[in-house]
Amino acid sequence: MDQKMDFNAPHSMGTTIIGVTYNGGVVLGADSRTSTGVYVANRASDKITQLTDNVYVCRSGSAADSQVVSDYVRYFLHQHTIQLGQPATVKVAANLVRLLSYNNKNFLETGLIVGGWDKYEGGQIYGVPLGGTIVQQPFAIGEMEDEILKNHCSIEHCFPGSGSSYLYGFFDQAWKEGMTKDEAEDLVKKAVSLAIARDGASGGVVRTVIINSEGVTRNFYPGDQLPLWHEELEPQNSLLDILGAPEPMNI
Amino acid sequence: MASNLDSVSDTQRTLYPYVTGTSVVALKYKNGILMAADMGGSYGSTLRYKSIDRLKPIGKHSLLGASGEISDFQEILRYLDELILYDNMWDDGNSLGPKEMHNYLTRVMYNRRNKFNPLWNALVLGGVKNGQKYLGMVNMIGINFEDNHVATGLGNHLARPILRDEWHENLTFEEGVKLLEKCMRVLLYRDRSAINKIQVCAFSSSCLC
Repeated sequence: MDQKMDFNAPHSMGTTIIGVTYNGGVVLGADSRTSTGVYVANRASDKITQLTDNVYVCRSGSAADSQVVSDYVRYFLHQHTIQLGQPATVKVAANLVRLLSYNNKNFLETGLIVGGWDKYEGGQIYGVPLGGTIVQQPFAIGEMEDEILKNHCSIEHCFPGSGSSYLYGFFDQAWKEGMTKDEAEDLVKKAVSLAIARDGASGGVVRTVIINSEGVTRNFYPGDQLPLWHEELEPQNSLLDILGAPEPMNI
Repeated sequence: MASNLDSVSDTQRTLYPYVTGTSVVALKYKNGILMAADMGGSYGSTLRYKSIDRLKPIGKHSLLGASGEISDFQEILRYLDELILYDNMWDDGNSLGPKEMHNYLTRVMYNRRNKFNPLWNALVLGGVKNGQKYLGMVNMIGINFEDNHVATGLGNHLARPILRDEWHENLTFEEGVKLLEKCMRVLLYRDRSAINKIQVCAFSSSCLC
């Protein structure tokens, strides 16, 4: 390929991020790939960041922009919690994210999914895409549609398409109301791994965070714990392990 | 960002929309105003959000429908919240009607356009006050007018010819709804950003529904 390795290209999380509500809380999921142009700068990143004890955010787009927005929101929420005397609500967290995204829309390139649990409204998911719109949804899929990006990115650091586009069809079919915690986490794991299978900008491991009235649970699923899809083979440590048996090749 | 060539000290400018709503269509009928819009929010060519409320009641007398950038519409709703709050705080028995609301929005849109920082929307404002029906439109460059029937976006090209032909004074509620549904159907056929889930709002002298 005649593409230069531009190591100074901004770190961008091509990304697949998902947030799903279930009967009693929310499940957030993400892949773990951060790319700099075509090079994978971090193959084990954690894109699900804590804002408060009960609210987390999935970050996508520019790594720097999403980190700085999360940091500001965490800072404001901390002070807000002290002043309020009780945990902040998910709605407040999401609106703070929206304020920063909207008021700096010309400078930021980050799409975020805010998810959490509070005692007033239970589990909620809010999508805050590019531009600073805020939309509450029963489930949300992460950003970076290439058509939008074409308008405002130079070719060097943007990837055409990203994990989320591959998932619209899947969710339209697989999503249902009132899932249990395990069904929801399963759905998220499946969806992220499907996106990783087809999207070059997504990869690595699947991380999930489950938030409900009891607290927060973080899970980690490396490749061998994920389902296999079309044209994928069983993982093998080495050719040498299977060389013993003289079997005809199956393609 | 690479395409923003302005210096850092510049205040922000909305250069292009991200999440957009498509056409809004509205008409006056015998008892008031009927307005319709679909519930879609497009993200480029993807029909991304399918439950976006683009018609909102404002105060006691008006209905606001918006197409264009949804985040700017959400911001306009916040401006209007503040306006209505101050209006109520006067507690003088008077309340802002649709004509005043339309004028306020026109000033906001035009002044933002003059600062090269537009709110990327086309708004339809309708309502009834003291028995007087009002229906107007204002867009991101400040063009505004009132008429018996208005539409935004592709609605101007597809729906208004139908309305010019079939609208008349004293439409009943049923006739009005049928007419709006006809317009929305054509938009669904011919507008690629349209989705098949619509919201219809009626504002009559007796109630807002």
